[in-house]
Amino acid sequence: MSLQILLFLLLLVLGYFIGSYLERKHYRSIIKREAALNVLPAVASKILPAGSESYEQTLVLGNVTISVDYFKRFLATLHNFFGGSVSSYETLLDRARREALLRMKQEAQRLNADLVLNVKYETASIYKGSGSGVGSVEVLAYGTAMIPKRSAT
Amino acid sequence: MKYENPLLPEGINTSKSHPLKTFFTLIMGLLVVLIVSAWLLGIGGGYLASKIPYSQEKRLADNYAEAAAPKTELLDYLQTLADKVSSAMQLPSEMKITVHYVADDVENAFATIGGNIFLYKGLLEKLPNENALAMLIGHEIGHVRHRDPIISIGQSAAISTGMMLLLGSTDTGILGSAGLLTQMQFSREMEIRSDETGLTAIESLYGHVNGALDLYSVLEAISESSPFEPPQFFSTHPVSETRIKELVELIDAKKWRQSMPITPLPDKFSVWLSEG
Repeated sequence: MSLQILLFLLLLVLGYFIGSYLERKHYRSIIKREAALNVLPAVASKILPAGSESYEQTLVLGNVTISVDYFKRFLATLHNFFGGSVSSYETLLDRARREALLRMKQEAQRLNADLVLNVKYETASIYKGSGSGVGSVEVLAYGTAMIPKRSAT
Repeated sequence: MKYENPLLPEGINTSKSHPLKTFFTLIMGLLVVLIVSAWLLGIGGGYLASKIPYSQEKRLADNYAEAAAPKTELLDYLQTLADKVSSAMQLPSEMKITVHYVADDVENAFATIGGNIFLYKGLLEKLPNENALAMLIGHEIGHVRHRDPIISIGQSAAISTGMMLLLGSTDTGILGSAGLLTQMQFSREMEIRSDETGLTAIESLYGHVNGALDLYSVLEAISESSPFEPPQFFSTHPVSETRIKELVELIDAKKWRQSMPITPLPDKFSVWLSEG
């Protein structure tokens, strides 16, 4: 029994320190890449802008799966007991959305796109129903990349 | 075609509060909820258990009847003494006290459900006179009279059931484990009340209280010699001085006589103990 408690506390402490280290590192990388990719706008508009005849359109995808650490999961369990916003999952989902969008934009940039239209997100939770197992979240960002036609230029 | 993505400020989609702060707030909240609900469950369970008829309590304690030891002179003597104390206490007739002797060096004695009292060799061989032994038995009969054992079981059953529902663990036995029946915890109030009931019975049995408090000197000496493992008789509360003080106050208030001759233990008592 005491061994179980000890293991639990160890996982909690490890989860907290490793989890927050990885999170800080991830945020630094996200902020850096977002600034670099800001030249390529990604918008939710579905309407083709004027002059789109000179563009080719193709689907671009960005997909990421991020796992929740033990500490965050335990905190979420506590939140489940008391109610209120599950703040421990907020950073997790924020990172996942931004990372997915960044990967989509990277793909669009590789294709020399000027713009990504009709951007949408899909979210899925992995390990659903695994009981006490640590869960992960998957975010897929996709949109229509507008790539200038070579012949037109 | 003019589109642009502004660089959004950080932290608009996440909470500012530090996760550790949230963690400690929630853990403290959970602890408070648990402690308060355990307390309420204990009160409720104890109250309900005190309403269990004594005949039902005796049925729960059936397994002690089988373990009846062969009649020895020692057991005979202890049982006779317990019967004398019971009648001095005017114990209701359905509350029949059964004394069990355990030939073990543990310095312990306890009362459990169904009027069963367990006396250990380790404690008996340290008692200086019959009055102290009668006080020990009287204290345990006091627990039986106040229904403390069944109340204690009711409390722990209610608490473990409640915690099981709240925390979702299923490995807690509700009732029936031997540990629950023998290692029940009595509250300080229960101990003091039993002390007083026991001492009152001793006074009406012997006509004085001389020697009765020797029991507490023996228990004090035991707890001093092993400070990390106080006798279980005292284990619910280390403040044994308070209990002795309460008894001295009771003696003073009732003006009970304290300087009468002490009844010695039977000559063969130590022989009986060593025989087992």
